[in-house]
Amino acid sequence: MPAPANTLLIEGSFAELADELAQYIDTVCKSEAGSGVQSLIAPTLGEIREKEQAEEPAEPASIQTQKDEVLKKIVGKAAVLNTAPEKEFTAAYNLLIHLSNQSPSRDMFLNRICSYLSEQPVASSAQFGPSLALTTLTTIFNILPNNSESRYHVFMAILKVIRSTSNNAAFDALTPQLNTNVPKWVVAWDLDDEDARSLHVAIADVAAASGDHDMSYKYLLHGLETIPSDSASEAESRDLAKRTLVAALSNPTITDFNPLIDREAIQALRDSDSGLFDLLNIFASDDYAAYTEFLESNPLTSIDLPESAAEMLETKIRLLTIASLAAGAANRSLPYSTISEALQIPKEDVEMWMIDAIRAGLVEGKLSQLKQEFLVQRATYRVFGPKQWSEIQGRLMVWQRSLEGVLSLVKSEREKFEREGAGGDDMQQNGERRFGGYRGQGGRGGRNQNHQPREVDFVGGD
Amino acid sequence: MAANEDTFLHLARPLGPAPVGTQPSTHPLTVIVQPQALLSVLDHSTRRPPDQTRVIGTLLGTRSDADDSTITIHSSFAVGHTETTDQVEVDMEYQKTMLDLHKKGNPKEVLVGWYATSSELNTFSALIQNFYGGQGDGTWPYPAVHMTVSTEAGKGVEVRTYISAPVGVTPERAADSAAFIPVPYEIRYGEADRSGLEMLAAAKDREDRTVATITDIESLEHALEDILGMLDRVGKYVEGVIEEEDDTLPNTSLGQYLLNALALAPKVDPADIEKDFNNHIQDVLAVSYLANTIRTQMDLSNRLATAPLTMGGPESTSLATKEEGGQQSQRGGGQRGGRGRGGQQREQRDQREPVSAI
Repeated sequence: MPAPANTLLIEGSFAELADELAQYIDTVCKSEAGSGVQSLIAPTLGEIREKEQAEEPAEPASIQTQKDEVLKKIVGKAAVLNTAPEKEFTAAYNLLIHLSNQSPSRDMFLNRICSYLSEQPVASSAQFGPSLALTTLTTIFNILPNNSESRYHVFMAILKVIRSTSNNAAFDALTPQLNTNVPKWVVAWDLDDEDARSLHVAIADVAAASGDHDMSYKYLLHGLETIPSDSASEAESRDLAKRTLVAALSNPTITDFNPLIDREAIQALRDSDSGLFDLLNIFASDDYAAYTEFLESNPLTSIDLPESAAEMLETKIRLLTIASLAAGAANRSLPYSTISEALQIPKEDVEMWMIDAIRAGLVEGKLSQLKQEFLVQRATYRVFGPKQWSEIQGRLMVWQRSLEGVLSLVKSEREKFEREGAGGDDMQQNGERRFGGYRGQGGRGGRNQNHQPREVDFVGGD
Repeated sequence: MAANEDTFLHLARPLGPAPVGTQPSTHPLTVIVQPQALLSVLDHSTRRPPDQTRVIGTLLGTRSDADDSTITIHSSFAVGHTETTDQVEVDMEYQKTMLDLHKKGNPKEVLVGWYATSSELNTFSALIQNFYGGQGDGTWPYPAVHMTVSTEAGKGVEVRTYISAPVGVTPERAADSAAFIPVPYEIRYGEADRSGLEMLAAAKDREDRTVATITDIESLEHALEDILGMLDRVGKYVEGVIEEEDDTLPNTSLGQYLLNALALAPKVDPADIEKDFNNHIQDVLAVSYLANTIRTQMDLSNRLATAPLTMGGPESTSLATKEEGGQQSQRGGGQRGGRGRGGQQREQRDQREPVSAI
């Protein structure tokens, strides 16, 4: 069942409401009586009224044209609503949206209203201006049908407002609603690749402006997906690919570069920006030694990376090197000496680096100072191949088999209890059987148990 | 739920009146619905008069302290109303009395809004919404939540939650109109709620509409079966990846996630487990042995304390113990007899208990 088509509920005919709104607009912009919108639309409204009240209903089409005329005039003047007092702002805009929503050329009017809200500041309220604009914009967004492409334009206007505000509350509210909705929207609005890309990039921009670099990167990555393979080497896609790449490299929390490497737009960088592409390859699968070697021939500034990122990049490649070492460690132990060698760090710093790697979620394990080694419990595989998949399969099988064992045991024990225990209400039988089970497991425990009934017998027979 | 098919945005709530001394807030709102509130709404709906399409009632709950941006709906009660084509009547008196009564029992719960059992919104909804959000008896200065629960037979239940903003530029218009703004909601339940609901759902498909409560061991079995089913699904996917089937795309991050999850299992030698298990069993047995010994000691001392010391000779003592009960108290007589009887009766039970508790 779809959502209710109409969430703006107001009684009154078009003519009445339009008249009231026009009057209100006139009051807000303080125009002289007789020269405002009200007087401008009065004749047309009068005709509409007459036609509606006439005995023989006039053609609906002609009324509609006249209504549109009235609306055009009202919407044309509606920008002054931005100066309305903050308490009346939402109410007045809602009425305007309600009127526009009835027209067949709804999208045109609503687009106009959107531009008022997103491009002009709300003059009457400095503090709540953006929130007021957002409230009204979301109302427009929500009353538009799910599959209307206009929703896309409204959404872009919303992003624009969020970006221009310093208030993070709106962005925080937006984030959780995006994850599931954006893919649905792209389908529902029937966006072509280019629009979908600008949608994702716009979200990434907003995220970056609000300081959420992880999310910004995520949407840049989605944006890359929309680049078709034949235009992967065009200048525009190249810029986007480069931007995404730099974002990925310079974000300290991103350690998985596999999704990036698969993108065709990134692959296209191989020729145009070979330095950056090589660096990506090093971060995706190589170690610290390769990185230092790379730096000798290519200083960071030559590949459009800021000098300030150098320290962060060094830290990151060291952590990634640890992950590789841990994943490849034979019999799960990694001597400190190997680590210090690979990372080119003094031996006493090894533990600090390991702790950092654990904190970054790349490895898990135990540090043993006594044995001077790291016992790997879990390591992130930087290259995920068939070998890793079969390992997963193996472990799943083991788990499944042991669970099946547990299940069959539980089942058979329950059935046994139902067969034997249902009649006898005493727990003795049950208890003895349970101990019987124990006796099988731990011999000594069973023997201890044998004394007990005798003790009891002694008490009872006294 | 199917209601998710149509999407909406909620970024800022309309600027409303603020409690005295605070800034008005436009922070977005979320609603948390607890299952018992939903159940009582559905129950109300099933008991409505056949000619009425929807019924309404009051929602009660709490607002989060910090910025009142989270509203939790705990419970609800029905409010009678009649609707005709041109007017609506709500039993305000009843609603007020019920609310007062409810507040006496649950002083922490306040009025947060109202529900209707139809997804449709009409101008009556706007009227009722304005009543619930109004000053005096309403939720003012906080926004009132309107929850619609679709209860059409044979279709899934859909829940929607709204708050409202004013429409119209004249006070008369604003009074009987409202712009409903959809707000996100979440149905949040605990473990106990969940198993309760599962049981209700189990009775759904049965002819006699009854279901027996399941025991711990059965629920353990169910849980094991569930996990096996999930493992099976994951196993199939992994198999598909390894066999390079066309319809399963290998997803590296998923693989990494699986590997991480599987690595959580501790790596312990089977021999160690065996050892630990046996040690534990021994501990348990030692405790139960000691407990029994103590009980025996208590029994013994009980008997010694209540034994009729005036009676000489071991024969009569053993006789008294065997015959027990009333006879014993007669012999003991007086004060001690009374106490002795209590002791004896306890003893009777105790005698059997050590045997049966093993």
